[in-house]
Amino acid sequence: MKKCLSLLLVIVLLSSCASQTFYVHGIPGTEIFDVGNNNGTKIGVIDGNGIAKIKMNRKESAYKPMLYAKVPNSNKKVPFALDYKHRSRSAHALFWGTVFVFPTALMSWIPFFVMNKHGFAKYDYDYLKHQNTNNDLIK
Amino acid sequence: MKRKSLGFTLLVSLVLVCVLSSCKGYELYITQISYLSVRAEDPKSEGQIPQNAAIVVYHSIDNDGNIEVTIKNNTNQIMIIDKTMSFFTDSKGNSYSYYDPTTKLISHSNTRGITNSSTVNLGSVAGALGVKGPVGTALNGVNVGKSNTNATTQTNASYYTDQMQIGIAPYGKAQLGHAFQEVAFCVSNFTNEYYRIDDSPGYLTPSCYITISYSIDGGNTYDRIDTRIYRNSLMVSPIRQEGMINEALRIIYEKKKNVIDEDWYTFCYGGVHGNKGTNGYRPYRWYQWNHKSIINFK
Repeated sequence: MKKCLSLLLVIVLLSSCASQTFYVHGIPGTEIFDVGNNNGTKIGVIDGNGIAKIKMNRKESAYKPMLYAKVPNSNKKVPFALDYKHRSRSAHALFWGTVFVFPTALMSWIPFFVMNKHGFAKYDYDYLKHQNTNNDLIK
Repeated sequence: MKRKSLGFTLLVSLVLVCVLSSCKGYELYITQISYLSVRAEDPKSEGQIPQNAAIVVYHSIDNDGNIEVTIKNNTNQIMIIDKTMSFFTDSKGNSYSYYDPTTKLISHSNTRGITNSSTVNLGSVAGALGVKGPVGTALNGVNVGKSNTNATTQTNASYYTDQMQIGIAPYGKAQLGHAFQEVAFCVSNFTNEYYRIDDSPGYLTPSCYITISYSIDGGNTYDRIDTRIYRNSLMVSPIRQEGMINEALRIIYEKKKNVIDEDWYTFCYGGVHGNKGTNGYRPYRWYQWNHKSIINFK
């Protein structure tokens, strides 16, 4: 039972790693759109504090470099690119190894397969935690 | 026992950590953002097509600059397009007729293979299946023990000859058939830092011309419609600091505020991706575009 629960926890935690959350800063009321199709899909709104929390699924596409920010009270959309950084794989593996691999020998192999299945082990970069729209360029 | 299990667990953990650490994943290096937009010299939209327009020409351009022409006959007459008198002229001044006089051979090969590999007594099979009479008798006691493959290749050749003229039914549409490429419209061709916006095309603005000759009186008289499509902006903005790509996009946006309002534009994020250790890097291209057809009518 204990093993099953641990296994479940591992799978849930690792599955959640297939997506990443970052914060977009800009003018309150700005709507953030994915550029997937012509009109885009709204994926967030910048709140009164000037921050929108965006969760990107990294399973669907390797890396999505661009989003649109819709200016408040206007139909104008402004593109902005998502900055990224490469991450240290060794530190990452060490962390997951320490946290999940240790409990039992059997379970130690499971995270590896889950990581690969969810593409987690494939990507060596993260979106920067804080991103900016380009709305300030509108005069 | 417990100590043994713990030792084994530690060993496995260590191996796993080493494997994960050494396994290099997917690396991505975006080195530039390019932007290209094109327009017709006299831009028109679908809503502007008048009732009395006889011909509407749609030019569809892809990310590689291939231009496909579709013609709509807006009359109740049969329209004839003379391909020998219809041309694509590229930005270098080379002129190509839409009529291709060469005859092309198209061959399709079809290979069929039948493999027998069996060592059975067909008589017993026939008996088991309840095959009686002459067939069952003939098969009885015949042992088959061979393995062979009979392959036959059949080649069908068909010849394709272009038509000098094409007819379009009243209110019908037809494609001209050949998509010519304008290299000046292929955004991934450009790698050096560059910023140029030509809202009104000059003599040196990279442009291509499409000329269509058509008749709506059964080929007695021909009229023609010409479209000039020009590259109205090309910007290549390099990434100055690894991963900081919005800065490059800001430069493009500062120079041209209507980047995503153009009817035809393409953003191209270029660089390399892959794995340095095993397979090496491959070119990386990510496109974002809006490709409305460029319309002309007469």
